Amino acid sequence: MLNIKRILNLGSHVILVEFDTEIKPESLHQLLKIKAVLAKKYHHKKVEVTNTYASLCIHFLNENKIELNTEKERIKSIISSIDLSEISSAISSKLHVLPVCYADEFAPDLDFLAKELKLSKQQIINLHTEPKYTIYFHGFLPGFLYLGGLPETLHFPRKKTPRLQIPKGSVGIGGEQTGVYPSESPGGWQLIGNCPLDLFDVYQNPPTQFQAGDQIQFEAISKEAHQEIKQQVKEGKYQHQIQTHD
Amino acid sequence: MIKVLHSGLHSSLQDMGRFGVAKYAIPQSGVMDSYSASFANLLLQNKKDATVLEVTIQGPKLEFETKATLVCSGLKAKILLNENPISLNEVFKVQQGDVLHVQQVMEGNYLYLACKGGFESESVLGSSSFYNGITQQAKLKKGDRFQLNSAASTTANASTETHSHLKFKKEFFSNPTIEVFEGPEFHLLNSQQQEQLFNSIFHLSKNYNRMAFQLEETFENELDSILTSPVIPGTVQLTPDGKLIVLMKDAQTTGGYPRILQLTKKGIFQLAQKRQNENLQFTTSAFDR
Repeated sequence: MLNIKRILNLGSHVILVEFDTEIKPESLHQLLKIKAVLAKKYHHKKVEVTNTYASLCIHFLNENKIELNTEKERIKSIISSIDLSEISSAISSKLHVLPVCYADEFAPDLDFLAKELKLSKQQIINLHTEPKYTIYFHGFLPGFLYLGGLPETLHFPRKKTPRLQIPKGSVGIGGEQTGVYPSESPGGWQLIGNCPLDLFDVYQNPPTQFQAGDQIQFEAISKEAHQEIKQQVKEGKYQHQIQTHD
Repeated sequence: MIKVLHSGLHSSLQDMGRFGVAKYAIPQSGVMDSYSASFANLLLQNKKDATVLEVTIQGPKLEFETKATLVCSGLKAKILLNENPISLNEVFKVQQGDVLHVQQVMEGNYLYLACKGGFESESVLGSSSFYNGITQQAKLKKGDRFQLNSAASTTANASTETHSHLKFKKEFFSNPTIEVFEGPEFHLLNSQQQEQLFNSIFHLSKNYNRMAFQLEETFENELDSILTSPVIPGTVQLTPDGKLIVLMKDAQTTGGYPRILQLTKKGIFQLAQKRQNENLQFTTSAFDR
């Protein structure tokens, strides 16, 4: 069960609630339940509630006068009134299937990783496409997803010196994490593939189809399929597969 | 319309930034020095969050293709209107064909040009603030054109009413203090380090931009990285090799370094206007935590 570790101010308009928790889907689902309840209680005000692995962050609009100590008490009492035992195994029922091309031209570090991990490239691809990863939150860059569930055999440190420019869609491994770079950016992850989708589009509402609590599975595709999907994405004709289950 | 003859170092349209989109990891953005920007808007009786032009160190050269009522706010700058000097915090008018040139920001880093009614720019996710990847433009380029708010051009003639009696409080910027709260990981520093943080004089390194201001001095510490956690503008991160990184308006929304201090809103605009050679000293906010 989630317990509040501490509740504190971050500046004059943000309250942080930190929980004693491990990084695991069950804890995330409890965290998201609390987040949803808080968001609902505050929905009539200019308030945004975000989460990371073990924190909830309650943002109040800078222009509004906020009595943080009063709000802290309110948040505490709202959280203590939530019955977390009622939460079923998963809140979200969405599984996103994301196509990834693991061909050499998109995977500058796959050879290196295979040697270091003493696996074949195909074994790495199999291991990487097998799990259903859980989305914990968005961070780092607009549309970047923090995923949990990378098999331990694939854990591998970041590069000592980050690359200055990583192409959009690059799929990488950094420590215990894996993910997709939603836009071109600097970055230190080991690159093993490329996903041809737009994970983020400011002109869509909402700008991303991915939510904390959703799951992601990667599906290996050929170079030809990558090119074809990329073209369809460009024309606005591609929708990735989303499976829903109760 | 206003035509950009020279872009300057980094000129961008900004308002008070985006709210409610941290969940997509979209930075807040918005004016770096909210005091000066709001002051300019106040002088023109604009709304506080009207879109202004933020000029960095070296300004743009702008040709006005329309009449406008304008004001520049900031610490000290050399500004010419058709070769005639313009004073800060004094409302002035331009006619069609006039050329405004912000030659140099002499004190501070940022200068704000506001027009009556505000500038008009594509609003994306609730804000006009430029940010690479969110708005189509990240900064103004030579040859760009941008507009006054459509309401602005009609009021530019009719109403000349302004708040010209207001006084710009330059003293906010004239001493080394940067107002802060203790950050979420402040307590992980030992008492000597905590004292040192408030008793030391720091300086800005050459690495500073809208995303973060990195300090020159290193601060020795044994703190480990933390689990990736929320950060906001003004969060001061301490890296294992002792770098102090103050996140600013275009900062990311999460981070993995200990958050040892949190600048107040005042602290953010104070720091935004500091330069490399100036002394900085953190001071606790008068607010009660």
